Amino acid sequence: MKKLKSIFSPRKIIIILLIIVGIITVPGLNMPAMSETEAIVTMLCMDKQDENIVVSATVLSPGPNNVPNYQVFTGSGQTLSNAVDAVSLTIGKEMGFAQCEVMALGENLCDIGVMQTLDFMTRTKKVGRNAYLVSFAGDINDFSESMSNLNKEKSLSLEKILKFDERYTLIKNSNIENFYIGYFNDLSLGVMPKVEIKNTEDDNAIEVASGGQSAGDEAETKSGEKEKKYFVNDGSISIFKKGKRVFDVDSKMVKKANFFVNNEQEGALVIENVDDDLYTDATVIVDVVRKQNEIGVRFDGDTPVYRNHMEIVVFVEQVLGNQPKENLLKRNKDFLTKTLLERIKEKVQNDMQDCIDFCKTNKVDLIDAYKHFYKLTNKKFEEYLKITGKENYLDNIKFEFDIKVSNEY
Amino acid sequence: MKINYRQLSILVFMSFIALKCLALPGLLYVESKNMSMVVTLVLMFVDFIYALLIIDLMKKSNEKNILDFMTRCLGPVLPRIFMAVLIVKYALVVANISKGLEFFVVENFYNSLNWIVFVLPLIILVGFMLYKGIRNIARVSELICWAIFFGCLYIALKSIAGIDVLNFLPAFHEGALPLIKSGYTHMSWFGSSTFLLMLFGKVDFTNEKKLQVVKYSFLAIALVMFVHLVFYGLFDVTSPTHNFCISDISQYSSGQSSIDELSWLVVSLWVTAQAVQLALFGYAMIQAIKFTFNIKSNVFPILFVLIYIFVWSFVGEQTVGLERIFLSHFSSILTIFTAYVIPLILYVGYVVERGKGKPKKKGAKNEKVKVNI
Repeated sequence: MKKLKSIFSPRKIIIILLIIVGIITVPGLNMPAMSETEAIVTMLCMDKQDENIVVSATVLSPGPNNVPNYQVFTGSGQTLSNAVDAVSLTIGKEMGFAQCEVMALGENLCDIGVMQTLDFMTRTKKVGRNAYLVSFAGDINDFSESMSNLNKEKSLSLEKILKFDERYTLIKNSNIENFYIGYFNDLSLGVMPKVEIKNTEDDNAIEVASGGQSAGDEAETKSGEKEKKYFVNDGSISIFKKGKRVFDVDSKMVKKANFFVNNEQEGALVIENVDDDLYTDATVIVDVVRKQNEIGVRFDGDTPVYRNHMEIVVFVEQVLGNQPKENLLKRNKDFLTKTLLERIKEKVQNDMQDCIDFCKTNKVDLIDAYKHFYKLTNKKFEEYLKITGKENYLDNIKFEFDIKVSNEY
Repeated sequence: MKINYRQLSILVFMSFIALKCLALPGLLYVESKNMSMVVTLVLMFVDFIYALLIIDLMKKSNEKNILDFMTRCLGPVLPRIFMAVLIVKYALVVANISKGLEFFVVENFYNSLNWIVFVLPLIILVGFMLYKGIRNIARVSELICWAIFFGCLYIALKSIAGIDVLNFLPAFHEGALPLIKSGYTHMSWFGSSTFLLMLFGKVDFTNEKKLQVVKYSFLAIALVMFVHLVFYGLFDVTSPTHNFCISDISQYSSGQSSIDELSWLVVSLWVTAQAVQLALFGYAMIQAIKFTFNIKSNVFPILFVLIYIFVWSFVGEQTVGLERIFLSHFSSILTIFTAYVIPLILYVGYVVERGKGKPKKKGAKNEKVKVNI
C-alpha cells in the first residue's frame, strides 16, 4: 500500500494527467480544423426527380469577420445515401447534419412517402428531431437557391419564418418529432407546413433571386431577361397519412382549423354588412388578440358530443365604408356593438362548421377529435369505433360550439 | 475514513436518480405505455424502503463491515455466497452505467468520438476516485448534487409548456399486468440501495439529522417523476425511440438554435454525475471482491474493476445488442435477489440473532446458569 501511495503521489498524478492531456491534445493541434473536413449543413432539401433522389444542402462556412457564408451544393443518386455521398464527393467534405435546422421535402418525395427518408436522416445521419420539417412545391434547385438568397439578401431565414408560423398559424408544431408522433398514433396522420417557389408574383410573395451562382445574381432566361422567383408562405399545410402526402389544405381552411387549437393566433376577422346604430352597411375588420379553447367530449347515450368552448378577445381594427364622423370620437370599446358581437360569433361559428365539414368530407381529423374521445371516453369510444370504423367516425359526432367574444383582457 | 450522515443521504439521492433519466423511460414505455411512471414510482418507493432498512441495520450493527455483520447473523457460509452474488450485481450496474455513459457522450456530444479518447480519461478518473475511497466519492457527490437537482429541474421546467396531459390517458387501459411485466423486465435499472450494503462501518452517525435520508430520497423520487412526467408528456408514442431522456427533453423545442447553453451545461454535468456513480458502484464492487476473496489490499480489486470497465466498453463498442443482458431474466432475478431478498434475510437474521442474545426474564434457565457461574 505504501508503495502504491508513493506511485500515486499528487505530483505524480498531475504529471500523469499532463502526459495524457498532451497525448490527446498535441496530435489534436496537429490536425486540420473540423470545418476543413466536415461541412456544416444548416438546411437540407430533398426531392425525387425521375428515378433519382436529389439532395441539395445549404452549407455554412465561416466567412471573414464572423459573417456566415451560405453555399448550396446539390447531388443526386439512386438512393438518398448515394445522393448525400454525391454531395460529399463534390465538395470533398463529410456532411455534418448535427446543425441542420430545416429539412425541406419536395412534393414528389412527399407523394411516395417520407418516413424512410426521415428515418435515414435522423437515425443514420443524426439530423436532430427538433429540426423543422417543411414541404415545398417547385424545383429543388430553385428552392434551395432561393432560400440561400433569402438569407443573404433579406436577412430572412426559413427557420425563423417557420418558428413564427408555429406560434401563430400552424395547427401543430412543425418539427420532425411532432411528425413522428402523428405518424405513430392510431390515425397515422401527419401535418407539414407548405411553402412554394413561384415564377409569378402573388399576394404575400417575397421576391428572391434564384438560379444565380452567388448572392444577388439572377438567372437569365433564353431571351436574355432576368428571371425572378417568388417565395410564398401563405400558411397552407400538407396532410400526410401513413407517411404519404394525401392532399394540401389551403391557408383559409388552416385558419378555420385554428379555432380548435390553443395557439397564439393573431389574425383579422372580416365582418361584412354590419348594420346597426353605429354602423351603416360597414365592413368591420376585427383583430383577434387572444384566444382560449377548452375542448370537452362526452357521450349523450350513444352519440358522441364534441364541445368547443372558446373565449376570444377582439379589437375593432378598421371600419370600411361611409361612417358618420361622430364615430371617430368614440372610445375603442364602444365599437364592439351587440350586433357586431353577434356577427363575430356567427362568423367564428360558421368558420368552425366549415372546418368540420371539410374534415368530414376529406376524412381528416384536423381538430384532434379522435384523440380527445379516445383519451377521455376510452371504452365508449372504442365501442363507437367498432360501428363506424376509423375512417367515418367524424360523421356521427355532434359538435357544439360555445363562443364568448369580448374586448376585455 | 468515514462519511457523515449528510453525505450518505446525498449518495442515496444520487444513486436514486443515476440510471433513471437516460434510457429507462423510453424502455419502460414499450410495455407499460402511458402508465410507465407508475412502474418507476412503485419501484423507486420500494428502493426507498430498502434504503431505510439497510441504513437502520447499519446503525444497529457495531461491526466494522458487512461481512462481519452477515457472519454474525447468518453464519460463515452464506455471507461468502451473498458477496459473490453481489459482485455480479455491482458488475452489472457498473456495466450499465459505463455503457450508458459512453453511448450518451458519443450520441450527444461528438458522434465521431474516438473510443479510446473517451474511455481512457474516464478510467483514470474512476481509478483515482476508487483509490481515494468512499469519502472522495461522497464529497464530489456533495459538490454536484444541488447543481444536478436544479439543472434537471430547469431542463424539465423549460419544456413543460409543450406537454400534453392527454398523453397520460386513458389510465390503466390494459390493466396492471403489463406494468408488472415491465417492472420485472427493467428491474436492473432499480435496486439502487444495494451499494449501501458495502457502507457498513463507513458511516459516522454522530451528527445524524432526523429524516435527512428520507428528505433526500423523496427529493430524488420527486425529481425523477417530474422529469419522466415531462418526457412522456412531450414524446408520448415516440418515447421508445428516445435513449437519453434528460438531453432529449432539452432538445424538444423546434430549431437547433433553441437549445441554450445552460441545457448543455446541465447535460455535461450529468455526465460527471454518471462518472461519480460509476465510481460509487465500482467501490461497492471492490469491497465485495475484497470480502469474497479475503483480499486486504485495494490494488488488485481496483485494477480488476478498471480492466472490467475497459473491457466492457471495448466489447460493448464492438458488439451490437450486448445491452440486452440488462433486460434478461438473469439481471431481473439478480436484482430482486441482491436488492430485496438479501437485505430482508439480513434483517430477519439480525432480529433472530438479537433475540438469541437478549437477557431472558428472571427465572429463566439461562439466567440461573449465569448466576451460578
